[in-house]
Amino acid sequence: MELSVTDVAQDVVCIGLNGRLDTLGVDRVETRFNAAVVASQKHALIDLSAVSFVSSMGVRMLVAAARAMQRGGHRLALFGAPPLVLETLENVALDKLMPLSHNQDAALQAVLG
Amino acid sequence: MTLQTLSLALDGAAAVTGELERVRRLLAGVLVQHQVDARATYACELVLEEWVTNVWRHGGLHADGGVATGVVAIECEVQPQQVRLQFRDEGIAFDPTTAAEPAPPSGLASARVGGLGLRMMRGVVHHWQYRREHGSNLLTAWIARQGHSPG
Repeated sequence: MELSVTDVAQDVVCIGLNGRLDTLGVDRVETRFNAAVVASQKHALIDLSAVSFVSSMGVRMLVAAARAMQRGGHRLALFGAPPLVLETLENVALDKLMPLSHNQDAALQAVLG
Repeated sequence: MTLQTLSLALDGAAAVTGELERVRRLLAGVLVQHQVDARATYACELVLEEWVTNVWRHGGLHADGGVATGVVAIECEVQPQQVRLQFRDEGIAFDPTTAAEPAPPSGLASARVGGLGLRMMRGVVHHWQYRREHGSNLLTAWIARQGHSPG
C-alpha cells in the first residue's frame, strides 16, 4: 500500500492511496495515513482510484480518521473508488458517514460546502 | 470442478497478517487459473479476510501469552457456476449466518465499527451455511460466478 500527499487548496490536502486496503495494507499505511490526514489540521480528500480492494479493516481506518477530523472541525471525503470497492463501501453505508464522490472536484465541493 | 485445500496458521498479529496474505495469493492463483471473474474473486478474498480476522480476533484462540494460536483449514472448490469456500477452525462457536447485524450508522460520532465484516460477507455470498462439528466451526460459503445463475 502506497500513499501520496498533495496540497490542493490552502486548507485541503489530497491523499492518494494505491494498493489493497486490507489487513496487511492497513497495517502498513495506517500510521502514515493518520499523520498525513489527521495531523494536517486540514480538510482531506482521499483518492481511492488506485485502491483495488477494501475490507472492514480499511473502513475502520477511514471512519476513525474522519471521526478524529470531525472533532477538530475538519471534513474527510472519498472519491474515485473503482466499482467493486464502491459497492463494498456502499454495502456498509459508508456514504452515510462521509461524502463518497466520483471525482476530486465533487469531493472538494463536499468538504468546502 | 477443482478442489484446493489451504491451511492458515494463526500465531500472533504479525504472523497472521503475513499468513493471510500468503493464503490470499494462493487462493487468487487458483481462481485465476480457473478463469473466475473479477467480481467473484473479490468476493472470495473478502470472505477469506473477514472470516479469518474474525476467528483471530474473537475466536478465543489465545495461549497463555495472550497470543491467538490455531489453524484455519480452507477448502476452495471452483464449480461451473459458483465457488465454494469452506472454513474450519476451533474457535468459539459463532454462526455468522444468523448473527444479528448492528443497525446502520446514523452519523460519524455514533458510528460503531463492529459488525462491518459480517455485513460485508452477507453482501457478497450467494448462500452460506454454518454448523458446529466436533468442537469446530464449519462455515461454507457459495459465491456466484458472473454470467452464471447458481441453483
